[in-house]
Amino acid sequence: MKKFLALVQRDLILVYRSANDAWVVLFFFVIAVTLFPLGIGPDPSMLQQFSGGIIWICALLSAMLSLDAVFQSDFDDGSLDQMMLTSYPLELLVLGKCFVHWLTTGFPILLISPVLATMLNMNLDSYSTLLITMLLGTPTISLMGGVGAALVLGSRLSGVLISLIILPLIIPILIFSVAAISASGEGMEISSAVKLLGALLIISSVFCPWATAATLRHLTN
Amino acid sequence: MKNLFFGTNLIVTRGGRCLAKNLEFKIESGGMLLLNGENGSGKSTLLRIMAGLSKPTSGKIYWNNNDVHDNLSEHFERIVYVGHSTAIKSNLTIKENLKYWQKIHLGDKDKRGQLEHSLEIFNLTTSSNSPARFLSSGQSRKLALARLMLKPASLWLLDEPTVGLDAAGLRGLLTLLNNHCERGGIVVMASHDEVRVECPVHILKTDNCRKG
Amino acid sequence: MHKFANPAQFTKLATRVLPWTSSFAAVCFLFGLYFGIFDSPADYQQGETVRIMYVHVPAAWMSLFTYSLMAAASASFLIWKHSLADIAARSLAPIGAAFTAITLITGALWGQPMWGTWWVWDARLTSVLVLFFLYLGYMALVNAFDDPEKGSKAAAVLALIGFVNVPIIKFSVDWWNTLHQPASLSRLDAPAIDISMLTPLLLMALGFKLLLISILIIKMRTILIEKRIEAKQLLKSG
Repeated sequence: MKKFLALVQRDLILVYRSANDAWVVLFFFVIAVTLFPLGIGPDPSMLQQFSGGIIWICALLSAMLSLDAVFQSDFDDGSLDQMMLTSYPLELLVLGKCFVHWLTTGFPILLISPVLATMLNMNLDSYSTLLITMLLGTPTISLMGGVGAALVLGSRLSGVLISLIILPLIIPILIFSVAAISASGEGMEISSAVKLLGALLIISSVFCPWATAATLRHLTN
Repeated sequence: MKNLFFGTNLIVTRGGRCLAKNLEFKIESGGMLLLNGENGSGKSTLLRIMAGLSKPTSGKIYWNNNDVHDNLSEHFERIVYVGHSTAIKSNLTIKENLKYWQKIHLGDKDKRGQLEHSLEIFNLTTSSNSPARFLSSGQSRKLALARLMLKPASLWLLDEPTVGLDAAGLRGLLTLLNNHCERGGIVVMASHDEVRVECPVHILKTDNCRKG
Repeated sequence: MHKFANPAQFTKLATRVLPWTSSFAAVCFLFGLYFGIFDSPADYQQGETVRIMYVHVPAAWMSLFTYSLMAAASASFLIWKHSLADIAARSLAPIGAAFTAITLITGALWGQPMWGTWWVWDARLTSVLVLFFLYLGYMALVNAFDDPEKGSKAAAVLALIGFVNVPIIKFSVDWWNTLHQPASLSRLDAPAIDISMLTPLLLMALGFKLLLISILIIKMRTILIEKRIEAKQLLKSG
């Protein structure tokens, strides 16, 4: 546990000292959301209908922007080799890195999303659902994105590539989240969608670190 | 306890291309193996194989008659590997860099003040609180080598440790190597420079693919 | 050295099998198309348009089948490190993508007269589109590395992850679809199919399978030859 915390602490310090990078992702999210009313028109009822989808699509794209960096710098400077050379399970170190990714991108996006929801005239009943889906969905993206980040390590154009391979795989998260948000706006039951999101989170928190660690071991040798 | 580190019939390839073949080596506690060969002759790859980061294309490596690739996490416990890349985070201070690796390897304990000591040996104490991005390449090398002291390991794997080191750094490295040998540790090192250590040195030539 | 013996064995076998599979594929297509176009009734609902089904349905079957093959080849490459499995997986991806593209295009051609639009976000069409993206992602990844070995490994892992995910994606898309539109569109697969329609359909399906095998053999042989040329060049330069 101490080792896990040491990694998380180091990565958080690193993010803090180059805080600009984290802000950039958040700004991208805000700007991307802003583009939608400009592109599809300011009609409040239309925006209300689309608000959940807009916020979620922009959250996905923002997460993609920052994912390829999860292992890149550790790979470049040799830290990744050193991390593999410990008897501490690589899976847990991977989990730590994904957690930091979530804490520095997914979580800030979650925090600011109600503000953007207001600007998009989201139905008041949907706010809590938006936050729940974000809370369950964005960590899943960081976990699945970790696998993608490991896969594109050392490739050309890794930034675009990771979107290309991960976005199709996280379509279910988008579908369930947006479905829950619109259902809550119409006063309908949201529990099945939320349960599915929770299931995806549980499955990926078990499966993804394992797959990521295996990929890292395979690819760096 | 005497340890024995040996490899048999190793073939080293990179990207499907043969770099070195029929490699045999055997080192006992207190000994050092010097990898000798031109650039691109598979020294770095061989060191990665010895570390357990890669698998040999064929052949096996043993620690006291146990194939190291059978139980990697046990192997990782006994090695320190310093590769070409220094594994230094430029946004952390020198001390934070070392502290992090110490925690990752040992949890939190620093009983013997090894961290301070390693800084002293490589003359990094005065700058220990400045960010590592201010380090020159020679100083970065020193910081990477300082990691050797953080973890009690019986096998050191060093890839070109002398590159960029000044006289003081070289002396520090020699002290470390001699101490390590004296304690019964084993060193495998790839280097083009002459390193005068006081332990028995074996030499392994690694460029036999091209000649054969 | 058995590593090199196997590809040689493969090339030998492949060269012997190829004329058979390709000519049988041609025969199947010839008869399948003949029966499908001239010797089967038009559907009472869909009219002549139903004949697109003889290409569309087998292609749709093949698009999933090829992905499963690719995942299986990737798995065996990761487990047994067999280079032939890697070559097979690499070769299967563009073939599968082509089948998927045929499925999508024929689907659009069928949809135009039937639904009055080239594209609807029907659950099936959407899932096939996502499958197409999975193929594209695989192809992009496998070629994105300077070291082809790395590309093979990464893409193999991706193929497996994709394979595990396909049912989840399919489920979510179906779920999404029932949410947004009640199933009012007529489906391609009629519940009971007349024997006069079944014959060409099965012939075409068999033809597609044989076509897959033939193209796979040709592609794998090409890659093997390329590898040999590269090895020779390396030998010269080294």
